[in-house]
Amino acid sequence: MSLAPLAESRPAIEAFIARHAQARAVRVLELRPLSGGAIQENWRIDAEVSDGPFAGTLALVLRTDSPSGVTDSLSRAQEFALLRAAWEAGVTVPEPLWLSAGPEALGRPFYLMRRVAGTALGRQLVRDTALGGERTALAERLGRELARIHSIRPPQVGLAFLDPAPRDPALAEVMRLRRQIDVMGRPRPALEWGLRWCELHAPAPDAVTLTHRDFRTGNYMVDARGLTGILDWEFCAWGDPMSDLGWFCAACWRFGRRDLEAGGIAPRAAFYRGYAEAAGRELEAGRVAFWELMAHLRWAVIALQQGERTLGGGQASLDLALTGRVYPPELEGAILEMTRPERWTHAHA
Amino acid sequence: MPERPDGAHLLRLARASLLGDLGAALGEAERYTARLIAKAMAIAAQELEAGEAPAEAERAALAKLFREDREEAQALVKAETTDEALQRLKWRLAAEIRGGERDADARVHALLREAAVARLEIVNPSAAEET
Repeated sequence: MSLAPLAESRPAIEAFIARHAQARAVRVLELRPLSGGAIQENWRIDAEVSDGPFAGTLALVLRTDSPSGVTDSLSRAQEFALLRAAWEAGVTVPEPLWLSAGPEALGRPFYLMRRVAGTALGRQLVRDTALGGERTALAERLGRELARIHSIRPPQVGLAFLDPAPRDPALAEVMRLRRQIDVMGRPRPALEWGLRWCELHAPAPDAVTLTHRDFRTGNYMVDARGLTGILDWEFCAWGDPMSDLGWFCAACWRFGRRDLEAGGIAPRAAFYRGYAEAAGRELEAGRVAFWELMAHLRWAVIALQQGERTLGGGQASLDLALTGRVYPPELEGAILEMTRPERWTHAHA
Repeated sequence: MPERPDGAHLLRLARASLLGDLGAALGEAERYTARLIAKAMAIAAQELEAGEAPAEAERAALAKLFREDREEAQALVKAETTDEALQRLKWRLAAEIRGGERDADARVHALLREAAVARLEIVNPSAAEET
């Protein structure tokens, strides 16, 4: 589906906001694309609302599909429902306002949310310590936020579109990654080695909660004082809550600050403290460690998939092609280090 | 033998001029793209210079693991290229690992590590040196 030019979309967006904000007149003052992910597009909108409950200037972000989305991510309507659930659970997210699930307004689904200030760039956040406020406090806060996300448990009527909660999230993830490797059609013995270790050493199933599945540095916004919003909800699924802690702490998501184990921003203890405090229970370090290994496996598979997407007349993105080529060898090295032969304590002799 | 200066040499010089004079004249957003292009050129140059050696080394290591004689294999699979042989052996190893036939196998672990380092040497030679 081709993207309607911005200038042509302005009247449609104004009418859409007016209808939902119950206003007589809405004028879009600014409308421009923000740098977004490879999967979605984000537009920055400033709108002047004449009257009604939203009278005044509204600072918004419009989120919609990019022309080439990844198939296993959720739709905009589903993402909107998740954002709503998170907002209601008290998670710091941009407030979701209105959804256009069909193509009527812009030719493709989109939703509007309030714009939060700040930056999300992982590398910048890790390097520039003036951002995000005091770092121990930021890590504690992120731990508390994650615990709130995990307070959302199945079943949830509004989230019925999510796949049913897996009986054994760890083994389900092993099987899922194997299927994705098979689809790509190239043998990956190092990843197989890591997945086999995970199959043998998977922690016993425990609580299943909503999991964000991309909760890491680079996916939350901060300003000079601290956290302003948690982003990128399109990979949410029911799962083992410890998988989100593993993803956040995994060495591959520390942006060069390997010593700061909580996402390259603070010591791990601060993040765990905030989480345990808000969750009302201690967390299991061994379970998190398992999911840190799994994080390397999953990121390696995602990187390979991104590279694959550029092949055979696919997306002409140098960024994605390099991701597929540059990251996997280093991730494999880390996976093999974590699964040295002496660490196969559950191997069938 | 390719004509001299060869492709890898041309890529390295092209990369140097991209990061040099040209890079200095670019804005912030273009510099990011220039860095990606420079990275792609470095990988391509490295790959050209390494030639078939890494694939041949990995094939030989796998053949040794499976005690597969080169001549025997050639008789079995006629005119198989190094890459075809490598892929076939990697499929076999991948299946054996998944099937639980190689659990905690120190030889397999060492082989996989060497292969990962060899691939890292192409895409990130400085990181490979640290391992």
